[in-house]
Order: sequence, then C-alpha cells, then structure tokens
Amino acid sequence: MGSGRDGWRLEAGSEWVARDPFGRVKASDASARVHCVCDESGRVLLRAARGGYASFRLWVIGAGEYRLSVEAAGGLEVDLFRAWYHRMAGEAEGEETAYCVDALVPVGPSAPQRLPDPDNAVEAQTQQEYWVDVFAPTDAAAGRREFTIVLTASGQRRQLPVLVDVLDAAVPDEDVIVCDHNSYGCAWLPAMYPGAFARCRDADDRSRTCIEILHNYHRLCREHRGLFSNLGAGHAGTFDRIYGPRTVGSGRDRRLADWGWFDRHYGPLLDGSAFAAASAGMPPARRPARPAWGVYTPINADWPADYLWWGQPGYDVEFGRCVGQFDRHFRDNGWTHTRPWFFFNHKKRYRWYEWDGDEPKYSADDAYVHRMGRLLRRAIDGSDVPWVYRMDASWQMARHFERLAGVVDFWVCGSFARWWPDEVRRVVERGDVVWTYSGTPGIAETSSALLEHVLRTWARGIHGHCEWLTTDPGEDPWFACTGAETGMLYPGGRFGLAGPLPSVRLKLQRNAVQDVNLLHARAAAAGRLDETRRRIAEQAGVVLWQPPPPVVRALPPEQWDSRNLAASQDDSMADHAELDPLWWLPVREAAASREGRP
Amino acid sequence: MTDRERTGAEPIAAELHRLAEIAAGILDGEDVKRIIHERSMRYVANPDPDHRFLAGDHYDVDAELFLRTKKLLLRIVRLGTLDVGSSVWVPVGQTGQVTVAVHNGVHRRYYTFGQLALPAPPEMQAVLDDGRIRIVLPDEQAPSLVTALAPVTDSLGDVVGVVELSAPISQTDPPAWS
Repeated sequence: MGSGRDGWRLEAGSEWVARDPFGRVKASDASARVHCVCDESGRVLLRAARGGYASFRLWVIGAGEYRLSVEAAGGLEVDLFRAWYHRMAGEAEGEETAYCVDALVPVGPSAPQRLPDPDNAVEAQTQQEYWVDVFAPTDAAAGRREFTIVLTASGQRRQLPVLVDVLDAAVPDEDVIVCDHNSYGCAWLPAMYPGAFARCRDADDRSRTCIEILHNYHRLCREHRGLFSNLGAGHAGTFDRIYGPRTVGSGRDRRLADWGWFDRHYGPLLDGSAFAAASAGMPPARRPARPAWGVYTPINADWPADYLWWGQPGYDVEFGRCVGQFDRHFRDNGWTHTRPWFFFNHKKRYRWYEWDGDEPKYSADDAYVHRMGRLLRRAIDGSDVPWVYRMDASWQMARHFERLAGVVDFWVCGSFARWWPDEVRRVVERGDVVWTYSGTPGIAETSSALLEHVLRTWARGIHGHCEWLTTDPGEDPWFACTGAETGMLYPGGRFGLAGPLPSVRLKLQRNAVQDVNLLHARAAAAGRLDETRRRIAEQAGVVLWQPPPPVVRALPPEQWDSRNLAASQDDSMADHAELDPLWWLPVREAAASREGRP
Repeated sequence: MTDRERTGAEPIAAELHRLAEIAAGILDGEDVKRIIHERSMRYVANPDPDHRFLAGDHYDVDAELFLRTKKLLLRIVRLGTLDVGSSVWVPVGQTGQVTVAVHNGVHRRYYTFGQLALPAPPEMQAVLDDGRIRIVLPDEQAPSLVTALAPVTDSLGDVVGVVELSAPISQTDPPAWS
C-alpha cells in the first residue's frame, strides 16, 4: 500500500492488532483469524455511524524525515495520533527489549516527523504506528466519503486512500453504559506536570493549575464516551480546597463558607460548560457540552460534621445543617442534572474509622449505613438535586441489596456480582444504579481484552463499569513501563500539554461503547433488547455469570477471605481474558451493519 | 537538621510533649489493648505471603473501644494550637512488631498506607520498655515532622501501647492524598 522505491511506505491495519517498532505483531494480539481493513487495491474501508468515530492503525515504514497529512476529508474530521512505544521494564539479561504501544500523541497537520523517532529512542526502529480517528459529524449525510492520507518523504508523495461508508444510524449521545475512569485527589499532578507547576508563584496559582489540568482529564474522558471521577477526600477525611468549602463553627452554628475554589472546580462540570472545549492539545470537542453524569462530593464521615460528635446530637445537627447548605448551593446554581455521590471510601483495615464505608465486610456495620442514609435523606428532603448514595460492594453485596434497599441506591460492585444474576436484576428493576469495578488490562495484554468489561456491562443490563485507577501509568511509563494497568490516561506534561494523553485502550473502549450504543438503540426499538444482549454475549464468548465457589454457599461473608475464595474481590480481566484478539469484530459488524437486525 | 530548623522544631516539640503527658495520663490501656479483635491480631501477626490481603480480610475492631479512644485523641490534640496527627500503636503479640489501632489526621511518622505492621522503631520500643515520653525530631525518614511518643498503661501498670503525636514544622495545609 502506498509504497515507494526508496523504501517508504504506508500500511493500514485493524484497531485491535498492535505491532512493535520493527513491524512484528504484538504476541498477545496474534490471531488465527484475519481482519484486513483494506480492499484489493489497498484502499482502507471503514464504516462510521454519524456522531461517531471509526478508527484504524497506520504504519509509516522507512527511514529519515517525513510528514503525514490528510487531504480532502469530504466533511469528515480526521485526527492523527503518533503511538508511543513504551519500553517495557524488567527484561532479563540477554533478552530482547520489549515495546508496546499505548499512549497517543496528537500530530499537527504536516508536522515534521522522523524515523527512528529520536524522542521515543527505539534503537533500529523501522516503522512508526499512528492511530487514525475518523469522525462523522451528526449532520453528515449518509453515503460514501473518501479522503487520502499523504506521506511526504524524500521529496515524494505516497497516498493511502480511505473510503468511509457513513451510516444512516447515529450514535446516541447518551451512552447506555458509563465507562468510569477513577482517580484520587490531586497530589499526583505536580510530579506529572512539573512544567505547569514550576510557573506557579503561590498556592492560588497551584490550585488554579490543578483545576485546569483536572478539567482536561474530564474533557478527554467525556470525548471518549467515558466519565472521569476524582475523589477529593482522603481516608482521613481531609481534602484540598478545590474539592469543597470550609466548615466554620460547631454544633448549632456549624456552616459552610468559601465556595470560591469549589465553584471554580465543579461549576463548569455541573453546568456542562467545561465540555465545550477540548482537552489541551486535543482535537476539538465533538460531543455536545452537557453536565457531568455524576461527581464525588467531599462528604465523608468527618466532614462536614465533626466525627468527635458521632453518635451524639451534635453530629446530626452539624450534618443536617451543612449537607443541607451543600444541597442548597447546588439548587441555587441550577446544578440539578449531575448526580452528587454520597460515598464513603474508608475501610476499618486502614484504622481511621471503626466501620467500613467501602466494601463493608461485617453486617454489624449496616447500622452505620442506615444512620448515614437517614441523615442524608433528612438533609436533602424535597431537593431536586439527584443525590445518590453510592456504596462499593463486595463481601456483603447480595445481603446488602436487600438490607440496604431504599438507603443505598447506587451500587458499584466487585467481581462477586457474577455470582448474583437474579439479585442484580432485581436491584436494576427497582431503579437503582448498578456498576461494577475492576482493574484494567495492562498494555502487554491483548489489546481488545479491556472490551470484555464493555460487553459484559451492557449484556448484563447494568449501567456502568469503574476502572478503579486510571491516572497512574507508573513511575516511568515511557522507558521503564510496568504495564500501566492503572494508567489508561497518560500525563501530557512530557509533551508540553497541561492535560492527559489518550491511549489506544481509551480509543478502543470508546469505539466499543459506540457499538453497544448502536446495538442497544436498534434492539430496543425492535423490542429485542434482552434477546440481543444474550445472543451477542454468547457469540462473543463472554461469560456473564458464574456459580459462586462452595465456600460462599457454606459460610457467611464475614468468614470469606481471599484464601478460601481463592479469588480477589478486585477482578482483573487480564486473569481470564482468553478471547481471541479479534473477538470484538462480530460485535462491530453487528453494530455497524446496514441491515436492520442487530 | 539545620540550626534554623531546630529552632523551629523546639516550640512544636514542647507543645507535643505537653499533649503527650496528657495522653499518657488519660488513655486507658485496658481499652487500647482490646481495640483490635484477638482473631484479627492473629492474622496481623501471621501474614500469609501467598494471600497478602488475608489479614485485611479478617481485620475487625471493637467499635465502642475504638470510638472512645479516637475521640479522646481528638480532644487531646485540640488542647493545643497545632495541626497534629495522632495514632495509637500496639504491640503485635511477641513478634517485636507494632501496628496502629486507631489514628486521626494525616500527619504520621511511621504508618504507610495499607501497612499491616512494622518492626517497632527503636524510640517506640524504648517507650514500651520504660514508659517514658520520647521526642523525635525531624530526620531522614520524616524530614518535616516533629513527633512525641507517649506510653499507654493498663490497670497493672504495664505499657501496652504508644501514642504517636506528629506535627509538621511548617503548619500549612497538607495534601489529602499522598
């Protein structure tokens, strides 16, 4: 494809199959199946629903300086990202260095590039991978569009034609599942963005910079059909000032004061204005600017009520007054679309509190949850702010679904949820929000492995999936990468950006969410949603539910442990991702089919 | 530690010493030694290398004793003017290790997040041995913290725990997450 006599050429391939900088397919992406994205003439063929993206990988092969550009996009919007080859840490002596792609650096039009890339510093690199995103605007007419990717090198032009079939179907703006990217506080930002913080003269500058960068994380996730969640309060109950107002006084006089930093941070997320702009250095925002789906609040066991008074009238009075003020602040500002989360992250094993707010293990702690729930409902009585009481559930999950009904109404469930299909279904049917949570497959795993979460979430009929940490790709993800299992979002500081870089994993996840949006819309319109969910999951080979191990039937949750369960409550898909690297292809074909039946 | 830092640490050390005396007089060792359930303490003392979360899975406390001790610590540190982190450490059986039973705030010299237990630091072991308050100045491990360690005694006069009171030399807002 597009090859020249001087050795330069372009190759295009599937979004699910990565290569190393020498052209070898990533071992975990090798499939017995073939997925060619080109026709016989070498033209790339894509299908895009309106309001959605279609993608492929592009490889530039050659040596020396070159430029890459896009010509005549025909109403489509095309973005190019240079893939970073992460040098993997830990190779044994004498073993060849391994490289995996994931972080994606946006490429300006016709910016000069070089092979080998001096920045990536891969010795004897022979090719450079790019990620190509093609966006079909919602007002694009259905039909065929063509554009060309042009490689200019050694004074020659090589062209790669791309034909895009724009479908009648439009990707619904509201996603049928929430892909949540979780993170904690902002203490990690200065180390990841040293340049941005070096310019700060004082604490106010530092707070402004934190907010600016965090907004960019929110933007990047939203553009990729996800949600960025950033928990401000630490286990001790304290938080930085950008996460909440101060408390003043005590007992009957307790009140909230100084909303300035909170409003600056959360106002644009809660009224949606933050999403009118793109994250720093990224292509334009293409989704409508709307308020965030949900946000953590700073409320915890020691704020706004003083835990010194826990179990005494003063705690209830302080809680009622201040949470009531918090709620009124939302109402006064018209922030009535985003769900504020009433959530406790503390565990007794960390020694700050005598009860588990997060993943409660002991049923004796239920009394705390009931008490907190009563306090919340009393404080927000009559409010039109859509508060939810979020609980991250594991050990007691099945019991809590019943015992805490009407108290907790947002469940973020560990992998034990796979044992409780009927219980989960009942909770969904009564109107509660149900997510699952887990880790994220690392970059050496099969590229499509993380899509298992997407399909399973949708096929189970639940509402979302939380990846518990997505902002920490490791100490040196560039040259000594340990897998980046907790970092789908890379710090852009190294590339002069005051915001994150997307990753291949993030792009794959976005495209998969588009697919389930399309499948869902068609199946629901045809009255075949349950049947379609079941069939697609079966065809894909994704296991939705499993019987619990015997110990779960034999013992109460208080006596389960990681040894007798022989399973962690944190479900890492990498542990059982045995699907073919191209397993998503039939799902894509069903989602992007021109026929009516999904 | 520079002379300037030492000068800054002295008034903090003096205040922490005063609070440590109060803690030593008020905290009840009979409560403190029973906060962590006996069964949980057995798991803390005998971690399973193949199941690193096992001790956490079985961690439980006596809620009433925990809360009473936590509130006492909160009250004690509020007698001063500093932002002080407070912890109660207890020995892990006869292992030579100590573990936190209760803590408040974010300032701490010894605890790292998720830590199960650690070998008793020499200064803490000294308090357990002789029941006398110790002041620990900033060092390589905690370059910005001043710490007071106070004994907690039970009804027999045995030292069954140690209160750690730690305050930063610079009293600015600490990060919530580290």
